[in-house]
Amino acid sequence: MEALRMMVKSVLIIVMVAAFLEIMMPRSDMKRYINLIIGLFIIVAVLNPFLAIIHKGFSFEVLENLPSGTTGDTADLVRNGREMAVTQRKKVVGQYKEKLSKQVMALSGLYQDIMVTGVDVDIIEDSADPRFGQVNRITIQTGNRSGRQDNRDRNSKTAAGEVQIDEISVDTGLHETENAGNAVKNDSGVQKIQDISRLRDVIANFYGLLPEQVVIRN
Amino acid sequence: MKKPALLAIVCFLIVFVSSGLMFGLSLAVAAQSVGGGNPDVTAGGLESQELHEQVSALNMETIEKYLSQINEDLNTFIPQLNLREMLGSLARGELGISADEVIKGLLKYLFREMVANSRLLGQLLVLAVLCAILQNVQSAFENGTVGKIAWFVCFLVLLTMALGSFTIAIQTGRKAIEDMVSFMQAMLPILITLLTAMGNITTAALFHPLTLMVLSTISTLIKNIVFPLIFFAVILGLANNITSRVEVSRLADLLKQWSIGLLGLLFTVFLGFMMVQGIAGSVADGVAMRTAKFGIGVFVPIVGKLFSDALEAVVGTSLLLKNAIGLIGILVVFFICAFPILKIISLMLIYKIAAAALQPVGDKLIADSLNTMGNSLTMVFVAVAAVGIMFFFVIAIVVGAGDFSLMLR
Repeated sequence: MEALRMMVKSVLIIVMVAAFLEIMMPRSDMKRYINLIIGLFIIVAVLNPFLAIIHKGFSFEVLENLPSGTTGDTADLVRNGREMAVTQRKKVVGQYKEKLSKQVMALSGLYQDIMVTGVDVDIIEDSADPRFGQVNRITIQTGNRSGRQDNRDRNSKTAAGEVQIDEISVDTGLHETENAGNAVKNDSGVQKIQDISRLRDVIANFYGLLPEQVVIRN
Repeated sequence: MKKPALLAIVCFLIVFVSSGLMFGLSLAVAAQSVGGGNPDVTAGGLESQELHEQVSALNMETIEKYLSQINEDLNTFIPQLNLREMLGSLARGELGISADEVIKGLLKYLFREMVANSRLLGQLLVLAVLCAILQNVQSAFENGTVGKIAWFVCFLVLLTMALGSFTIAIQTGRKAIEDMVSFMQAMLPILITLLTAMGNITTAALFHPLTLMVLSTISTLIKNIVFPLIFFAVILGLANNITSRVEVSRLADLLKQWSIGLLGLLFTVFLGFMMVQGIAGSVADGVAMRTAKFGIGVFVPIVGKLFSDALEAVVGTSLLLKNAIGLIGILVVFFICAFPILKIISLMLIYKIAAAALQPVGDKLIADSLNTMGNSLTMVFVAVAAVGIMFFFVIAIVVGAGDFSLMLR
């Protein structure tokens, strides 16, 4: 651009000189010679940048200060974005588990005799794993239908640090339960075990899980 | 001015005006679509916890700095811009700014600039009338040369004054371009971070370095090559009017054509680059995410839907935020670009009015010179508008890339 600037500057000076000469010598016989010389000067001024290119080669001065892409900044941005994505994924998983728990609780409502107090869903949380989002295990916490007060008492005691939860591990209905003798001692108890077993089958079948993946605790 | 150049400028003006109208319409529609996508989020506006958390995680200081600068500079012409309030409004599907107020502000600014430049108009008219008087009373001088020299000096003073304001117009254009580049350098990282957070890693990795490089390169080329070419063309056009003995109008036209050609070339290259890059990145990300979602859908047939819903809710917030920030970015670019353009237009109108007013009283050379400057200012206006539209496209494509990926999912 410097060469172009010089060319324009030269042409402007020549034009100014020509204008003054025109004013100074309006009717001179030299007019046509002056015109010719001025014309030659203009040609030289116009061609000068092109001659400079031929002699010195093209100058890349305009292109030298052009900005270049900074990959370092991009790496930082991508890292920040990934961190945000991880946070978001945790939220997604949390919401997913919550919705799944509610669904399981709703399904449990089909069995009036079983009072579900809580559902814990364990899923594959590693997004790199092709099985990401699949359910590992569903743990259903049940209470006694006899009254909510028992539950409250139990919760308060639990909160105080006393562990009072018995685990009832139930296989499919045909097998004998290991703790049946300890946990159920009457007909209603048998009925309850049967209901628990059915509930487990329903949930396992509904979500396409193995029965071992559904744990019901009392 | 040659017909093709005039035609190009007219076409560009038509595109610019129509894009301006579309811009106004799209703002309203976009505001609706930005907020309308996620009712869970929009219900609480920025108070929505998810949205608030994401906004806090981003570094918005630079954008807020630009907004406060715009508020400071243009407080009498446009409503106050507050980033968080605007995000909240957009989340609710409102724009937060009235189009009426903006249009009134723009017209008010144009009128103020016209009034401010009327001093220049007065000076030009006085000098031109003086030139005309000197030309007519040349015969009254004992020696005609004295009258001619007086006219010539008067003419040169007039041209110097006109060139001074022309230089100011070019500097205004250059500053507008620099401001737009700086703003984009502040805003693009935020959009890229949100794109990455939404899983568009390929798009983000492609967009950031290349887009910034292409934008900065094109802006630098327009600033350092197109503007000087326009300026040189004006000087040669004026030199052509100084004397009838030397004709350099072809050289002036050549430089003008180069500037138009270069501008068109840069614009075409930019558009081609952005389109190919945007679509390529989006398709790559979209396909990758679709594969993941397909896997979940196959292996988790019932709860897959629950997972998708949770994903849509959280990613939807990012999408909403990205679109809202993009829309605010478009608004800011519009304000950065529109006011300098109005300043240039006001100067252009002054030159044109002066040329039209002087033609009957003054001589042809003065009217032609002023007309040439008015036409050249049109070129400056087109160059600044072209850069503004380029930035508009960049934001639209970056915002659209995330939407496109989400659509492919």
